[in-house]
Amino acid sequence: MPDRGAPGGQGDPLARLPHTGAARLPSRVLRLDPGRAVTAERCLAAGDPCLNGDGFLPSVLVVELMAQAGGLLMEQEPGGSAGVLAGVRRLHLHAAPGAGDTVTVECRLERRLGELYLLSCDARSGTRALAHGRIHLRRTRRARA
Amino acid sequence: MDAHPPSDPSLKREIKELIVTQLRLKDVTPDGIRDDESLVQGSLSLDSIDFLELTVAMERRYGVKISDADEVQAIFASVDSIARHIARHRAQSARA
Repeated sequence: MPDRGAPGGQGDPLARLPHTGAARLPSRVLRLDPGRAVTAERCLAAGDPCLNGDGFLPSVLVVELMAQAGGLLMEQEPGGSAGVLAGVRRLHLHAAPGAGDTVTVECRLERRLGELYLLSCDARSGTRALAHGRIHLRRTRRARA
Repeated sequence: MDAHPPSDPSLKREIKELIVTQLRLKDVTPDGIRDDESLVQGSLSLDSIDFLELTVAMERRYGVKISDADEVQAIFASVDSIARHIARHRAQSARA
């Protein structure tokens, strides 16, 4: 069974993300099948700093949520590396989530070619489809101090 | 000298249609792409993300495998080179 670790613990996959604090969008990993698929979620409470003035999560942050979750499918390298969102294709936005919604994103790795990763992603809140599309992540060397 | 037989025009036509539809190119028609036109430096200006999308599409459609990222630039240099790669794959499959 895929190990997702305790939230916030050393085994928590989210600890691998370079994003911290408010910049880290997923709040929990529900399932991680390394190199194949990942499911993560974010609970949107009233007053969530990611909500816009109208109380909705902007679509660009839905994509960023996909990208951060999808980044967990990249292999870890000894020298350290990070993934950046390189492209978005065929993105369909169906609905905007708001306070009280739990946004669940599922990303499946379709193909890796060199430093580029192609992922198919879906976002939903319960049974309500929010968005789906393909994103591209590029592995980059992480700058070391 | 290329040891592989020249690919048929219908294959090149398919490849051009694949490029236009898969990448959803606007203001580009299959007829507007020359066989020997550079896909990178020509008017299409395709990039590595486009090549990844085409790689997946070609694998599904023709069963060809592209596993070496270093091959990508050579394979996707032009419609001619893509057709040669598919023809080479077909010849190898026929011998196997």
